[in-house]
Amino acid sequence: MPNEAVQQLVSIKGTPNGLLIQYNGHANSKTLVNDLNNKLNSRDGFFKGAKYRIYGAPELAATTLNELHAMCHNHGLVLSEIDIEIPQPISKPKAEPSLTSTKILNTRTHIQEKTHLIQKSLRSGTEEHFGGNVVILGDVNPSAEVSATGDIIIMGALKGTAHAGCAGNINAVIVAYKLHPSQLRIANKIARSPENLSERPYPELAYANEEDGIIIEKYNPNKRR
Amino acid sequence: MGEVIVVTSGKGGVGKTTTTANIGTGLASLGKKVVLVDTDIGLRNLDVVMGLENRIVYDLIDVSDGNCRLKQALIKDKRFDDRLFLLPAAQTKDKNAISEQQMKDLCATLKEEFDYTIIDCPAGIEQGFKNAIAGAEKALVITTPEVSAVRDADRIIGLLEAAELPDPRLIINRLRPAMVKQGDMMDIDDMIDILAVSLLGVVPEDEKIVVSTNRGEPAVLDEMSLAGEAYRNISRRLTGEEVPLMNLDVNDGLMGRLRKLFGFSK
Repeated sequence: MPNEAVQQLVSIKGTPNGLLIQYNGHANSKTLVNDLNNKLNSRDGFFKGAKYRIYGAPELAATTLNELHAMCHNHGLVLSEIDIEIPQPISKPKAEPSLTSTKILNTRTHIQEKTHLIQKSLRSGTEEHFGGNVVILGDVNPSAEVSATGDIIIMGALKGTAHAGCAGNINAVIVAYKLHPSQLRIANKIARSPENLSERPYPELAYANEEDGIIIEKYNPNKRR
Repeated sequence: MGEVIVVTSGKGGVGKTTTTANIGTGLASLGKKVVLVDTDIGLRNLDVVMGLENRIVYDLIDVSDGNCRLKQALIKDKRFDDRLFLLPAAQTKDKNAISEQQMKDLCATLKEEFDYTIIDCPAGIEQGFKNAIAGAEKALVITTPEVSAVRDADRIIGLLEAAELPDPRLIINRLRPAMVKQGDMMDIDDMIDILAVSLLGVVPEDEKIVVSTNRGEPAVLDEMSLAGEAYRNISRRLTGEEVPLMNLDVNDGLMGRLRKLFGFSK
């Protein structure tokens, strides 16, 4: 991983507080902008609505930085108001692999984020994105999509697609009263329902980790996550 | 002041035109004054299903463009003296030949004179759909017991809500009770569960529909047709009457009903 990062001109990292866009300031400004554009294009719309910050050393010329911001903006990214942690410039990758980042990733800091309350069902063809967490008082029907940078809680049936932690937060969870999704995504993990899905008359919770991907279990209110 | 009702579905081939023809005819036979408007410009069918194809002189676009007066374009169905009219679509134009505002104005004029203005919506969610719902006050959503049709109906209901046509009512068409019983077809509850709208009626699959469509005589006029009976019930429900759902139970209901229809039992 770190080696890869060295070679990349621009890297995009998901953190609990948003996307961290790091650049290698020694490259010329044009290639930097192009590289970011390619990266964002290759994830076509995936980062839409995510908060981001740009870090790197040395300082870029104001025009280049503005170009990078404009690029992010064009792809639907939102500049984060708060500083995103782990300002590890790519120029010195050998200092500390990622102790701090592991620590941050293991806490569910995003629960302090804004939580949206949606009092309707999402019907087929609707696509809703939220910065923060979302609670839906209704169903998410087949071929509807909901995504949030934090947790997604559905007080109804999830039959469409849900993407929690869509800015890269793998600690985000998806809870639904009836969890029958066509697809679940948490951070960069994707899972689909098994073919022979039986009715389960209890709420379920989906979480993810790096090793196993997405895991679904019966929702247990006494278990602290 | 009458009601303007749009019949829509999203998916094609689920029975919008057949339903429009049958409900319109059903309401006319209940003594209501009805006009049917075909907005499927370029792919008109309602005239064929109504058996009025050879009487078209002017069409919807002629009216909206001012080539003729509205009265001239309305085709009278002779089976119902002065109670049932059709405003046919143009076959040589496309969906952009009329604007949403023109549809609104047209519907406002029609509802002055008719108890029910029923609009046959084209398949899809593009301009044709937008035109069809522009002047409507109520919506009927048609679906068949297929996952794809229900998915599209769900999308349509979302779009209707966004267009401030809330609480559409659902008609489930071409249901085959025997297949539902075997678990091979979605049942009514499955569909209501996903769509979360009120049910106006269930129309069973009926071969007579094919015959009546080809002949241009809506099945609702056929006393022997099961689908016709379902459409008669739906028409009565539209007038506000409370009519229980038809018994489509396979064992005794359907057979018993058939026997009754053919006069083999009391």
